[in-house]
Formats: sequence, structure tokens, C-alpha cells
Amino acid sequence: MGFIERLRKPDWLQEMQTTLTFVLVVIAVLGGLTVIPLVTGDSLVAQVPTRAVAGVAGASGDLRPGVVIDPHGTVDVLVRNPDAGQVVDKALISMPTYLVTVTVLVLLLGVLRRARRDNPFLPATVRRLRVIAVVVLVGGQLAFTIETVAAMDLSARVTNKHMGTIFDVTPVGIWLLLGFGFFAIAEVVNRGRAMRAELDSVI
Amino acid sequence: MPPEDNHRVDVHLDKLLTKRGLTLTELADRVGITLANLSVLKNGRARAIRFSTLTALCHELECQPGDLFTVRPPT
Repeated sequence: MGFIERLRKPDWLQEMQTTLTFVLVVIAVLGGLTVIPLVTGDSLVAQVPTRAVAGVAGASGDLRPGVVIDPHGTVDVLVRNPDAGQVVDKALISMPTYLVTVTVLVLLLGVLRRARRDNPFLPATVRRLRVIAVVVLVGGQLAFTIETVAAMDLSARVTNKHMGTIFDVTPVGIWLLLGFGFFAIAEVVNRGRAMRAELDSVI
Repeated sequence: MPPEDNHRVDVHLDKLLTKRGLTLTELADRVGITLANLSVLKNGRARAIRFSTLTALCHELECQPGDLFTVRPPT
């Protein structure tokens, strides 16, 4: 199909497959850029509560009048020559979500590839979509838990026992929504499979 | 989802095949459907038949749909 033809009649499965492949490559590169400095670098950035840093909470510095550092928020600090525990914590703050995301995208790419090649309304397609849903639901919550604990632990390791991280539950909701979304899509495909089976029995 | 259909349609393919001196395989080839599907039809396990298939069957068997199918009265 020529380029103009593709623009007028897009094959959305192909477009999605191409986009997913591109995103996976980008994520792999970004993952590498994150991990390599962790392993080879001599410093890392950690988030600590502002109250852990004397003189920061409520400070205004070059901020406009009436604007101060949030005394209940967090600040980024540079940890020089981190120990192994701090490096592991830092890795655990981002790697779980990264791993779950890569796993889901690879599985989804497999589903798309098979859907383009064969009949998409197969029991195997339904099964794979349900597997993705479980990975998202369970993996997502696990990733959030590990990352939250790691962030709190890192903060404790670099301060005098101030455990601080903004406990943002948004990822919990997002993973839940995505997981249920994949289950719903699996059910749609399952109904398509049943209708296709019905049609196949028409002589 | 449509309900399970228990039909009362009898298929008289065997009788018509004997009358025309055709085998199931030959008929399947002429009509352009698989032997497996034609077997399914012959044994009354088909759920539905396309008009195009029905036309081709009636053409090859030189019959009308009423010769091929009858509906049993309810028990």
C-alpha cells in the first residue's frame, strides 16, 4: 500500500504495532540511561521531606513575596558516594514500573502481531489479553508498593530517620483502570470469538 | 448471545445423493464446500445454511429446498 493510500485507509493494527515497537525502543534506551549512571555514577538524587533540611521549610530565597518552600513537601537532595543500600533503593524507585510497562508492551505487541497475521478472534487471543490484565493489575500494585517502600527507605537512609515521600495513590487507580480495561477488551474479543464460532457453523 | 437452537429439521441428503448417483465427496467438490461441512449438514448438526450453498446444492441435486429439508412436527 502506498503512503497516500495508507494515510487514507490506515491499518490501525499496523499503526499500533509500529508505535509500540518504537515506544519499546525508546523505553529501552531511557531505561539504559537511568540504570547506567546508577551503576557507574558517584552520586544520586533522593527526595526527602523539606523539614529534614534545616532552613529550607518555609524559606523563600529568590521566590516572590508570599511564596515559600512547602514545609509539608519534599526536596531533591544529591547523595554523594551512595552506599549499596541507597543505590538499590534508588533503582527500586523506578525499575518496577519500568519492568511492568515493558512486560505489558511486549505481550501486547505479541497479541497485535498474531491478530494481524491470523484470525484475531481465537481463544488464545482472549487468554493473552487476560494475562496482560493480570500483569497490569498485580504487577502494577506490586510495583507501586515496592517503589513507595523504596522511596521511604531511601529518604530514611539519607536523613536522620525522617521518612518522607508524597504518598500519591494515583498510580494505584491508573493500574486498576488499565487492568480492568484489558479485562474488558478481552471480554469483547471473547464475544467476537463466540460470534465467529457461530458463523463458522453456518454451512 | 443467541439461545441454543434445537431444531426439528430433517436433512434428506442421503436419499438425494443416491437418486443422483453422487457421493458426498463429489457433491462437496461440485458445490464448493468442504466434505466436513457437508457431513455436518447431512447429520443434522448444522445451525444454518447460506442461501448460496442451498442454491448450489439444489442445482447439483436437481431439487427444491423442500426436497432437501423437512421440519418435523413438535413432539
